[in-house]
Amino acid sequence: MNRLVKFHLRMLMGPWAAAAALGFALAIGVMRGTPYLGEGMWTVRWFALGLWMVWPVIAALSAVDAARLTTPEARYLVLTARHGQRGYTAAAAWAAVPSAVVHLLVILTALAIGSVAHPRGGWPIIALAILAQLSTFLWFAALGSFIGRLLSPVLAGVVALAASLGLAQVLTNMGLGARGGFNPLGDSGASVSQIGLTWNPVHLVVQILVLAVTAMVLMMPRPQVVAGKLAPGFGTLAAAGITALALIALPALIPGESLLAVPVAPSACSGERPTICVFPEHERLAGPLVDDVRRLMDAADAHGYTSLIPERVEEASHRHIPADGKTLRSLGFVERETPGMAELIQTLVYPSWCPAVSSEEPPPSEFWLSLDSVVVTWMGLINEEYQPGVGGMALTPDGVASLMTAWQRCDVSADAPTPATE
Amino acid sequence: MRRPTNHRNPANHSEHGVHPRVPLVRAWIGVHRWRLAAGLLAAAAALVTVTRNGVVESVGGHTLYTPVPWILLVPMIASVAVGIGAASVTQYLPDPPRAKVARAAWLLFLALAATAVCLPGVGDTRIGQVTVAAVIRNVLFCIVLAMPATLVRQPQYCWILPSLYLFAAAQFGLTTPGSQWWAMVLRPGTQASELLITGVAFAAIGVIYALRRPSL
Repeated sequence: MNRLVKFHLRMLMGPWAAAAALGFALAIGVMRGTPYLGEGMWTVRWFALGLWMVWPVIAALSAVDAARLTTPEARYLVLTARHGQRGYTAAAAWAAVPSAVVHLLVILTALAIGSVAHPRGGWPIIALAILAQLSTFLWFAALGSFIGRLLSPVLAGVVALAASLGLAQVLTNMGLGARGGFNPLGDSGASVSQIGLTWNPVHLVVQILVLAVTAMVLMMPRPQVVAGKLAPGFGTLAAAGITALALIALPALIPGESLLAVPVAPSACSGERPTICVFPEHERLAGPLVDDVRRLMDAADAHGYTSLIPERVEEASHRHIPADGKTLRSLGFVERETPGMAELIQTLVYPSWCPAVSSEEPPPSEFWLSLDSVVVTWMGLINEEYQPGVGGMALTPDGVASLMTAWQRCDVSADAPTPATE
Repeated sequence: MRRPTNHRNPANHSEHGVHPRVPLVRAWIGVHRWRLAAGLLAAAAALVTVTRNGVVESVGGHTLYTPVPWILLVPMIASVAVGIGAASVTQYLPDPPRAKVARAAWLLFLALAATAVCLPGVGDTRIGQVTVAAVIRNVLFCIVLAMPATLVRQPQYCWILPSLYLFAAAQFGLTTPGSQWWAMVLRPGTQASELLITGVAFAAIGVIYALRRPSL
């Protein structure tokens, strides 16, 4: 076994794609402090951020290996031998599998470091998503092998590199597939928290199947040698046609979104007046933000602005902003960097439950003036500098209370209340 | 119609073994992969024309932090052409000093051709003016990265270092706005120090190439 590995490492370049996969994955792993380590879905999607760099390397090295097998000196191994096809398959497998193993190990290590014992949605969907990512490695190795069987080694690498970069653009969410819909190469990663989302399992299964089948189709044709030169035969053209047809047609045929919303409430709560709740996965990051909210609430309480204090403040999640205008306010997303106090105040008071401020139609100008006034007021309570954005003025406690009551009714065009006297 | 030649007749050979009917320059080009190099340069020229003044906003479904002008990326293809064109297809030929000079001149010619192919793409883009100096910097820098594969007689891997570098620069080197110092090739402008470093590196790789004859 050891000798077999050594032999292939010496004879083929494909296995060395794993070095690039490892390098890129490690760099992704430490990028921006891996903010949401501990979230299962985020961890898997975070490492998908590097796939676009690994795919062309796998395809190009696989192409060079296949092309080297097809050179006049070596083609007797694959063209005239009875089981010559195995040579191409083995070379492509050596390009895909080591990189896939490295990618898998990096994700598993990150999940272990993040202590992900019970991911939201369960392990099966995580496993399916990882398998979908790994299937792309296989597909690009097959694509590279397909190109390599038609070209000389010197040209095969650079052509496969360009082709895979182009296809990676076309077959992910920037190309044929509608944004958010089915994409043959799956998602291209995420950097924000994924709580509140899950993968569409149908999309993952279809992706795995279509990539596996088209990879097999791409591996099937043997090159034809006409008058000593390589020429694409019928099999080659048929394989290219079937693959193109499947990949172009599927995004239009597969319904639904690739990510599904799963509303979920945060459960790690602390304190009272208000009770502040974040997702357990984010407790590690949430400390400074919770302190900022507590400081704002204490200042509002001390100065009699009790209408600004809700009963509960909850962290937002994807496609769900937990604010009802009565007892619940949104904390926004917990991120590595805390927002500025002015931005935090806007998040806390923004009436996201009102259709008037969440539709495509912009809210009336009175709303922005009132919102700015609330920010001016609250920033004054904590003695922080703030330059009013649209001419907001400090308000009295009654002025803020009347504004909050109006927004509770979704009356976002309510007149700006009386400013506080100096 | 091909002119008949008699290779066995010593009268048809010059003192140094070059056929007198084949000009020296043509013979030199003939023992290098000029067709592949020319083909790749033509592809680069076509890309320059098609993507004129355009920017790349996403790669492989991955949105870049900052858009990058196309013309800053085309030198990667041109540099692979240089690396492949610099590879000789002959073995065990004599390597007198004038052959070393010829190699240096050949590399310079290929680099000039690569630059000439890219320069028509210089101009305004949505994120700023791409300067001539920036394109020259990128061409030379990518050649420096492409040539090691040629020097170890593996021109089929000329694309590895330039592409890995560009991928890493696009993924990890871009900031909003601008880029890290090491991802300089993604900036539309350039500084004198960048040109100096790139020029010195190109000269160094040129000297190595001239002194050490790479062949397949």
